[in-house]
Amino acid sequence: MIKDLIRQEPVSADALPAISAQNFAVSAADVLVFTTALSRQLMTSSDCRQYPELIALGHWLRQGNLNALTANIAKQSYRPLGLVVHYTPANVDTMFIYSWICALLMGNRNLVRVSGRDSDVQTVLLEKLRYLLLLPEHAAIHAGNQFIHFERDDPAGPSVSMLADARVLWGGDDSVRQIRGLSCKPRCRDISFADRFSAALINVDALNSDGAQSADEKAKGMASALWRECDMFQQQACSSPRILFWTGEKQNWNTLTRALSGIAVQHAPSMVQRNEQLVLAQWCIADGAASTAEQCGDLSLVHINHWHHALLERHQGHSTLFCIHIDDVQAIAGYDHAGWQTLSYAGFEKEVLFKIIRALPIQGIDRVVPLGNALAFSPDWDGYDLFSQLGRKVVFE
Amino acid sequence: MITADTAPFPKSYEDAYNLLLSEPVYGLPQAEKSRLLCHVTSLLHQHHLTHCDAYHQLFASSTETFHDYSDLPYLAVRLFKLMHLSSVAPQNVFKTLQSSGTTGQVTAKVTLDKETSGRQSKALVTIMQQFIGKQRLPMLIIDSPDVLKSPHLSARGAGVGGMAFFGRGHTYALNTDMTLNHKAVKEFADKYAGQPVLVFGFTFMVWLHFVEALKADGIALNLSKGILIHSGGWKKLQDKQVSNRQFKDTVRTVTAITKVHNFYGMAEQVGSVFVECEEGHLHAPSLADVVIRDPRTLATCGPDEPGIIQVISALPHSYPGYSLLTEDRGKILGEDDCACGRKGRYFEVTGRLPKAELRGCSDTAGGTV
Repeated sequence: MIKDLIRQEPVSADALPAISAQNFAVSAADVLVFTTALSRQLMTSSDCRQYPELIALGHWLRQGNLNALTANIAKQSYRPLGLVVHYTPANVDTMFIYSWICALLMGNRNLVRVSGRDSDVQTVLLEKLRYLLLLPEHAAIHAGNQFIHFERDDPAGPSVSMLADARVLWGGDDSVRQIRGLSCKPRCRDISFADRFSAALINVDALNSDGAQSADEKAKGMASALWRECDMFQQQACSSPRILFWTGEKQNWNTLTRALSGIAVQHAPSMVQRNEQLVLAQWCIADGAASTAEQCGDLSLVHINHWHHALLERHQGHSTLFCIHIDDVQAIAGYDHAGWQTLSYAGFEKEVLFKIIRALPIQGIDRVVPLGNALAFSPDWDGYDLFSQLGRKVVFE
Repeated sequence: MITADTAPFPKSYEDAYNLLLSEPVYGLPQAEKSRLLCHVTSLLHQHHLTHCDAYHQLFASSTETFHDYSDLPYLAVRLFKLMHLSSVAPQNVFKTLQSSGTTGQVTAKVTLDKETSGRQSKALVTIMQQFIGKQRLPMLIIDSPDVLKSPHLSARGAGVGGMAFFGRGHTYALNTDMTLNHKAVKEFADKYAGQPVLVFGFTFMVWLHFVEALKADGIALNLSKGILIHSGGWKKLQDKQVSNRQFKDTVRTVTAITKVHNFYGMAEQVGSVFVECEEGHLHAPSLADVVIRDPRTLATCGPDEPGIIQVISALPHSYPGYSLLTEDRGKILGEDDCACGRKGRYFEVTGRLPKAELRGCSDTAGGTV
């Protein structure tokens, strides 16, 4: 059974309005009116304020930002693909909006299958969508876009898949594999986002460099940026760092951890988190993978001295970072893996760092972004340009 | 007279342990008991440092001797599910105990040598006799006879096997499919009506498959001189909103048993059990104790402050499990002043830590996407 999450009623697969909605019924201007209204809802409603994920989404949806993101693609001749089916992940509650907006901006009709795991963030977000989509001025958008839920093994799954001109698949390797196993149109495009992991890279010696700010002030900035990346989505996003590489002197590291202790404080820590941190730290120390662990506020730092990739399977989030001291940036090549998505950095000269990383013979790393921005969604994701993937490029010669 | 107060502490673990065991199970005031237990655990600490690599990796930098429970390092109890932790040479392994686990769950493995296993059994007897007496009573086991046939030594089987020692003429109250064996129960109740008997089972099984079944069938047994010992956690009963009070009242109504003792213990510390007294409080015996820790900081909590339970036991010698941070919640109710007259710490268990929610990318495969 398919449930329409906006109308809050069951709907059959062949009666979904998006299937028969008219192409081009929605103009780019209509879309921007809608996204601006949604942005305002998220940034001004009191029930969104406690969720940094929703505030971040609200910022991302501002007209200025969307215009900037689409500036390049708008210059080229792209037409919509048709109907895009999105399979969104359970771990990042707001991802279904990012993925949807990208497809919407490219003029597509959309079926967005939302996770059945009702989180608070998801509930609030669906409420905002419900309010806006049921307004008469957004009726055209609503006709071509539905937010639905059905169970993984529901008979509706194959029918929905057969409707798709493109499938956007977020999830773990197993989910992606399962959905790709469903039949689809011969020319259907799959854009797959599977299991990835991310790391941060910090040069702590930068805290001691000359400048107007004291080392402690700089450490606070660095600590805030790092904590933001760990706190958002409870460290469950693929782009949330799970490894922290650091270079520099121990005394400067200590300056950073002092700052972290005051900053890494959760609003509503779970009762299980500290125990989960203890289990992971003791497991790694007991089998020789880690030397020690230190606690900085709600963040657990596990100092790894014998890395093996399987350690990532032990890591379940819970505000924990595997910390690895490296002598120089080149050393990250020793930790290369095709699953490595984002590297967020602090304390480096940007161009110098980029030059080094560009030259590394590595399979991983699709994004190199300033520390604090790891979770900022970009249409360039996992090595794809989502806009061009969600459009049909037309050549005029 | 040599007393624990004035004698120099024995230098060997065995002597120190025996000194502790020779004390009355519930007779030591807290201050004296914790001094003795700290001494035994200091010796255990030295032993595990030199016999268990993993323990050495973790706690080599801990203080050498403990003067207070807060000096004790503690191991997360889940580590027994994740790793092999042993302080005994492979050729000296007597048996490996596995914790219960429903299908698909990882079970803990606890390595025992002959000496540790022997001490566990003796400790259990010493503690349980405080409640059951020294006589072996006719025994009704709220389980099916199949529980002992499991190929591995499951915790349920081990629990039943361990407790069976305290009774004679064992009767199993349940059929293989967990339905009540009416015939067996009726014969037992008729034969021993009004006589002292021992009834043992796991808490949720006693409730679901015995008490509720008797109630549903309108059967009332007359086991007025019986003692019911039960264990295994309240989780399943809490979900059904059954309190300890209600449990006892219903047991009394359908079986006439008034002596009901719950006990708290785990596969990772077999032998050191915390038994519920007449006042409904769990008591630490001489050779074990509890500390409560704050879930967020893991700092020790004072009386009445709820937190995670750390269990300390003088028994674990063949594996490094003498000080464990459990995943149970509880609070200390008092020391030396329980109305039942027993000395030492008494406490209550309030539940389990919730299961950590796993929802990484890889978990979306669980059907929630």
